[in-house]
Amino acid sequence: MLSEFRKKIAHRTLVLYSPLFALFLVSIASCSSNKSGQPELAGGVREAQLTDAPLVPKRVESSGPQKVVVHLVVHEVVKKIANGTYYTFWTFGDNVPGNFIRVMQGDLVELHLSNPAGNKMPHSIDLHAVNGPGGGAEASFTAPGHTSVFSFRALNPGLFIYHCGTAPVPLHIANGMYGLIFVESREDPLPRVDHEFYIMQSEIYTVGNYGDTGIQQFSMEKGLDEKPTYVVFNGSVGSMMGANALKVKVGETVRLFVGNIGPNLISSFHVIGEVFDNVYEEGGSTINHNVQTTVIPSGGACIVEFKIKVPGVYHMVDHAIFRAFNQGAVGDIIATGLEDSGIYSHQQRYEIYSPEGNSIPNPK
Amino acid sequence: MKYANSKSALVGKIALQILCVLLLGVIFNARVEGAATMVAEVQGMVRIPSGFYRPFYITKGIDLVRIESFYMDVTPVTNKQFLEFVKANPRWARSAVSPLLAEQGYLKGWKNDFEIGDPSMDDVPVVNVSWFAAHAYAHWRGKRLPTIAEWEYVSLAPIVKPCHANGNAKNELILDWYCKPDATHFQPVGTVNRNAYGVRDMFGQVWEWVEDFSSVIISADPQSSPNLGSLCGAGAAGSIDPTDYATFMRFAMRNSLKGNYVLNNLGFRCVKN
Repeated sequence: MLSEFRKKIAHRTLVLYSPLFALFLVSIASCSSNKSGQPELAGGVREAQLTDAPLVPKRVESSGPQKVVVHLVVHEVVKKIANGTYYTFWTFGDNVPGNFIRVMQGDLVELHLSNPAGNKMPHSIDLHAVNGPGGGAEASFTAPGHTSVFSFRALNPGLFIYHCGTAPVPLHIANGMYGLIFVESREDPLPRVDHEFYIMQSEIYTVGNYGDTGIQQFSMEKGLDEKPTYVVFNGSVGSMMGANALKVKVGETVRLFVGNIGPNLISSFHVIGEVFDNVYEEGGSTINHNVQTTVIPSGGACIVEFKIKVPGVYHMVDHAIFRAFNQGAVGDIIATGLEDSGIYSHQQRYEIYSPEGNSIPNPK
Repeated sequence: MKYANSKSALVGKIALQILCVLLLGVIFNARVEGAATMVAEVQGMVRIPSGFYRPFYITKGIDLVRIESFYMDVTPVTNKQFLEFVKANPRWARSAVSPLLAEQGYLKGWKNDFEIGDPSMDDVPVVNVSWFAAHAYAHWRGKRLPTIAEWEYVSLAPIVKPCHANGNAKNELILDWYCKPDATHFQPVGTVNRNAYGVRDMFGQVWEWVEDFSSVIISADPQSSPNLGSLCGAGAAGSIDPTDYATFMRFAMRNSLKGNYVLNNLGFRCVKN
């Protein structure tokens, strides 16, 4: 019995040491592993500036590719879905959606994923910008109380989703574990605009109905049926309404980095009263123009640009419109500035409709 | 005559009944005595009957595992119980233990090496113990850690207290606990819930170490093992029930561990053949 125990201990010790050995191998390998001839990191090292929605980090200019260190910390916290309605969210950073990460094409991203000891679940991160198995999920699989570090080269420019990749993945995603990473082309960076905003569409599946108050429980049944209780932008109903609406001025250009994590639905993203001048389809390199509504797949993203011409309130919606009207998928842009009746007149007349043709002014 | 006949038949019947009662009594007594000796042998444990367990992940065509009858601790191991072990085996004291066997944070809730400190912690589950420590404790008690199959087999029983819950209702109950942020204020063991075998608090208090927690990593043939991929990726390939999220979470949790890890809400219980 004892010798068996010793054998087991020896086996476990081997298991314990094997990562160290693997690390050793990797370190040897990495000396000569730059097979693809990736550029030297001429731009040095920087710590990534991370933002919470709806803010987007500024582009960081550098003389060449950089090593960008990203620190993401997972929290398991109770947060608001709507007034009086709460849910236990799991987050990258302090909020839902997770921190926005912005790097340049060619950068080497060193990602540190920390899972504090107070958490109950193991977590990981799968970034769609990664070329490698699991998008980093296996490399970043982290028990509570621990931190994982891995690196990846940002090869492809574009706007990418990231999310937790730990089983059961649908639950980790439904509970709030997602965000966006933007890899900007170094040769062809995005043109300057006046405002950049971060918007993420997601669904919340609760046992209670829409509007039920108190801490809500996850509904497996609604998730399986793909019938969400809430469809929201930036984690909660009204996240960009009233005092939290996005504020711009007439004549300014606006760029929205829009992600849709689902976990089930495809978004028909639309801004009521605006035509998108440019749409970077699916967050990639194809630019479409003069678009009313753009499709964002679940687990996909999109960049839209437009110029505000007339003051007023512009509602961003999922134009699968029940979701906007009844489930929360609406956020506001408030534009202030001078009217331009040449573009939009507002109401010019209001009268009683008479089928005979003689219109009589409304006594109002 | 007829009367006499029926009378003798009646006497016969009564005699037979008395005999039956006596016989039953003997058997029953024997059983009770047997049970009494069993309880004396394995205090604080319940006998889990043998049966079959369908592994959550089916590998290499093994879709049914025979579980031999064993005894399982009714409750998770408490701080007080673990302190007895540490006192008898000082090399497992907080300041003495090798970091290879228990990482930083081992027994961090205790006052010092041989004192728990807060008396309200005595009877709550011990946490922040490594697999090595749990394993050593079990052997010291003349027990062992349950296998994944044994733990999961027992966990399949319906919950009977505080209310009856089985199937979806039970899954929802468990999922609700798993989805709540850390509860560092544990209840005294045995007070949270009880299943049909009489095993208490398998859910709702702490995660529990099992003997072969890392078997999915050790059987490291990435081509044939569905486990690592499924636990770190999106697939549910190879699992018997893709809707059983509670079980996925336990497998993911176990898979994220190494033998010297200590967690705020990871404890253990023992079993015995």
